[in-house]
Amino acid sequence: MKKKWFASLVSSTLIAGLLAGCGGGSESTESGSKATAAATAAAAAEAKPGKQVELSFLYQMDTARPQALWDSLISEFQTKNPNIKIKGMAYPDVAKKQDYIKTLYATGQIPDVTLAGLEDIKLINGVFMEVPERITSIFDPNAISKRNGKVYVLPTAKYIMLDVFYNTEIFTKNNLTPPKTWDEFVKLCQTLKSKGVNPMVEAGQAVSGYILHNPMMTVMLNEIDKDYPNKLVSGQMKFNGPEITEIAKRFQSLWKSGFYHEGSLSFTAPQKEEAFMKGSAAMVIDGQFNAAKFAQGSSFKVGWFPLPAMKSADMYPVMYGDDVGVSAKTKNPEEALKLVEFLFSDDVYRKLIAPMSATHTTKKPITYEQNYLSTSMNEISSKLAPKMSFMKIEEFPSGTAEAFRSAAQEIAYGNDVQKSLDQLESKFRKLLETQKK
Amino acid sequence: MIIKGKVSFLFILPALIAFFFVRIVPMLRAFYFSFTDWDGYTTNVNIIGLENFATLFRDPSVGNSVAVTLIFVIASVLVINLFAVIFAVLLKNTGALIGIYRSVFFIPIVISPVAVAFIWRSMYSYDGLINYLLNLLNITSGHIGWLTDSKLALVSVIIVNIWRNIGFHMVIILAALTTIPKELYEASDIDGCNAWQKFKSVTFPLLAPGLTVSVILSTIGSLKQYDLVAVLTDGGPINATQVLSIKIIQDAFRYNQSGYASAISFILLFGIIAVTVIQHMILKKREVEY
Repeated sequence: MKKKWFASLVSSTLIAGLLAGCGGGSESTESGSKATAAATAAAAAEAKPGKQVELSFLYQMDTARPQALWDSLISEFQTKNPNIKIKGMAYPDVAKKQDYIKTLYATGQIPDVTLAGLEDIKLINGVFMEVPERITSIFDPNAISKRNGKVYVLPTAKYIMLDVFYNTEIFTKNNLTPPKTWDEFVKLCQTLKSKGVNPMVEAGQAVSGYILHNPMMTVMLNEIDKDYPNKLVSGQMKFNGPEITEIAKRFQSLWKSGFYHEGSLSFTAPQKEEAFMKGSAAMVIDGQFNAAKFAQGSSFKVGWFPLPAMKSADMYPVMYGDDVGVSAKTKNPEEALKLVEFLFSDDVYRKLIAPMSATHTTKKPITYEQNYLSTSMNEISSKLAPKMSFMKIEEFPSGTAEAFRSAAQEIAYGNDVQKSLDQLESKFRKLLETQKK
Repeated sequence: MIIKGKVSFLFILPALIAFFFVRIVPMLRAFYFSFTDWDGYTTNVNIIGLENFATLFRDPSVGNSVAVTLIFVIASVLVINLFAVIFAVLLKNTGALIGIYRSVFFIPIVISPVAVAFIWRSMYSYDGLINYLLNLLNITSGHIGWLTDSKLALVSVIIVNIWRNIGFHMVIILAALTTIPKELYEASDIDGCNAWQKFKSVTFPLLAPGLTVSVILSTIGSLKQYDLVAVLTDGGPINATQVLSIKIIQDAFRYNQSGYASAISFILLFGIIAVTVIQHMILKKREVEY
């Protein structure tokens, strides 16, 4: 009797768990929306009757932009557009968002509107619908990219990309200043190491945790030849050619010289950030999107400098990202574009970019109170030349970022540089062939 | 009889239809795509014959994945079944507590493999539980990169796979043990056999059918292992844990080579079938009846 009772209890629990698990990812959105159900109903009563549609909206939820923010934005949109219901969903794992969106696309489940994670998938033709001129006209022409003369995704943020944040206390204590050439940078690391300070910390387990592709490749290749993206695509320059081989060897020498915090290859992005904020390393490579975190989370003042190229430090990698795209297969294109326009309306847009310390991509400036670090980054970078981040070059085919990340990891682990780059070159040419088809 | 057969067939028809559309149709489509250059997204699909199959036999990364998979499978199958037999033999004599022990050992297989992998990844991390305990007990002074040292990562992943699957296979062996007639043990007692002799001459030979099933299931499960490896290491570091299933997914979704990935998946399928048939032929010969 006891066994039957116990079995019934376990079975009921399992069934309940199964049903709960089948609930999908929109529960918190729905619970957030419930709170404004009355307001929505009132607005609906006043609004003109329109076609009732449901849009799916995929976004990136993280510590900077938590679920509550997305719930409030969705609720606000639904209040203004009572005939449109938003089914919101967050990327389940931000580190694998690009895999996630590609899997959704491959299975025919790409959401109507997606914000963030589009860096790779936007390079595939036919995924997103063309954005009409009435929307693209509000953007800074430098911010938006075109494929075959058309705009398919819109960047919400301009970031100063992965570059060097440093512990000003450690630098001051050791009479160090930001370097202006690569040799000065290496000498700086040697000085720190000789004084028992970890020069840098990295996140080997993070998605893009390697200094090699940002900023080294960006500034060093731009110093060699500004037209390097086209030359790589056309084959005039090769990944296993002398230029990139030299850059990769310099990168490997940083690891072999022991300039990285012990365990860097094991660290996740949060562990890397924590190690820097605790003062365990003098420098960390990260993006402007983490400036607020470093500014608020460190017990010391944080500074920023652009990683030097061989001869100068007058460039920095920039990225126009956190793109918004409307699926080419959406059944409600006009309503989807309404959501896109809403995301770029002044107050809403400010709420999107402020937590990320990002700069607007629209012609109209969107200002907000910035932390000291972000302000300092903007001031310093205003005197420098922005260069498109190497990993965001749109001439490169989809899959290039993953192939490069893999090669960078092999090089960091001490593998033969030429062999890794030979494999990368072969992979890159294959990806180009696939894209052309 | 014919009417009874038709009625029975009607009852299993829904399951057959579901099986057909969920398993057979995707498999046939994948087989078709393995002869094409499909990128997984476009409708522009060109038939390229056996080019994908020719390429994969020349691709060093496929060779690496096969080697990693073989090491993973052989180590997992040997250790899982060895410990499953040991634990089953020990648990058989625990009397009233056997139910509790069986449940405890079975729990890992019930937990989602993704959850298991996340927990172990946390334990394996730089300042995770394992390094903490090793430092506390003065076994090591530094931090070991369990999942980031290319020489250790595969071992670490195998340990998790073994931990998760021992309980399930122990239950299979335990069930097989209960079918061994008690009279044989009584007869061996009369003959003056010690515990080891009883195991060698009575238990192990009669355990063969259960062991056959356990070995075959553990081999198939290990050959197609994906979720544990994906969460723990995602095939890294530097492809040290890139088993074939990881390679297939990465080629399909990261490098947009779904046709090529389909070809690799069929090689994996044929490999699993071949290994299963061979295992069955070898292990079946060992089964005895007294």
